[in-house]
Amino acid sequence: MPVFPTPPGEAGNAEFVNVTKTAPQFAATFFGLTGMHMLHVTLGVVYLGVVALRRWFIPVLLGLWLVAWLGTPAYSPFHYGAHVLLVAAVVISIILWLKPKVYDSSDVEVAGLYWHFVDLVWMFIFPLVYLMSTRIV
Amino acid sequence: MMDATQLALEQRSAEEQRHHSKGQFLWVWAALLVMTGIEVYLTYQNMEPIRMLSILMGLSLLKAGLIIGYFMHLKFEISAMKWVTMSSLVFCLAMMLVFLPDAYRILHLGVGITTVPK
Repeated sequence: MPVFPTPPGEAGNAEFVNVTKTAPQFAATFFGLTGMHMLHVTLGVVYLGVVALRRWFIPVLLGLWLVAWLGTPAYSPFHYGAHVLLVAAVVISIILWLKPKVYDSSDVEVAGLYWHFVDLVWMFIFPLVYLMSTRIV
Repeated sequence: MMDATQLALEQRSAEEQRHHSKGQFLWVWAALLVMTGIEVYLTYQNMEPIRMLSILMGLSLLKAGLIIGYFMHLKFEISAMKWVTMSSLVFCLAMMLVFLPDAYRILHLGVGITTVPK
């Protein structure tokens, strides 16, 4: 069983022997990249939703959280992953309570910049992770 | 000092003067879709990985340029903004190349662990 942090000495090195053969490197890279990207897309949707609807987006987000949480089986990574939406709802509630405002064109611009930056990353993740790993025989 | 309403009106008129037409964004979006289609089509051609990687990265750079230029509005910015953002991007990419020697070490020299526990 791998432990973290790794104990020093030979016992600690044991898990790294043949690491390139035993570690699921493709799955780790694939789900690391796509999972992190999904998190950022989700936060982008929250960002755009708040700029567009302000506090009225909170019930929408809570509804999405309930659907995602209760609509997925417990073994699915999205079951507990859905709580990102709950955390986001709490965070935006605090932000809108501390600083209520009508968003202006600069806020829309900055939200759009964030959204398209995440989009930009996908331009490289998609061909590298999906297209380059395809083997059609 | 301008109040919030004046500022908002000023912003709105400045925005209108920029002439972002909806049609232009739709054309850019269509171009991005076409390039994505070409990328997916290439995947089914069974070419050498290095050749496919080069073509895919070339198309991705084109798509990235369209997104930065139009969707992120860099094309409509002053030249100082273009220089600051693009030079820092190039600098960051160059800094990431620092990791290439490590990748080479892993591929060609192994992970460098000599002591195998009994």
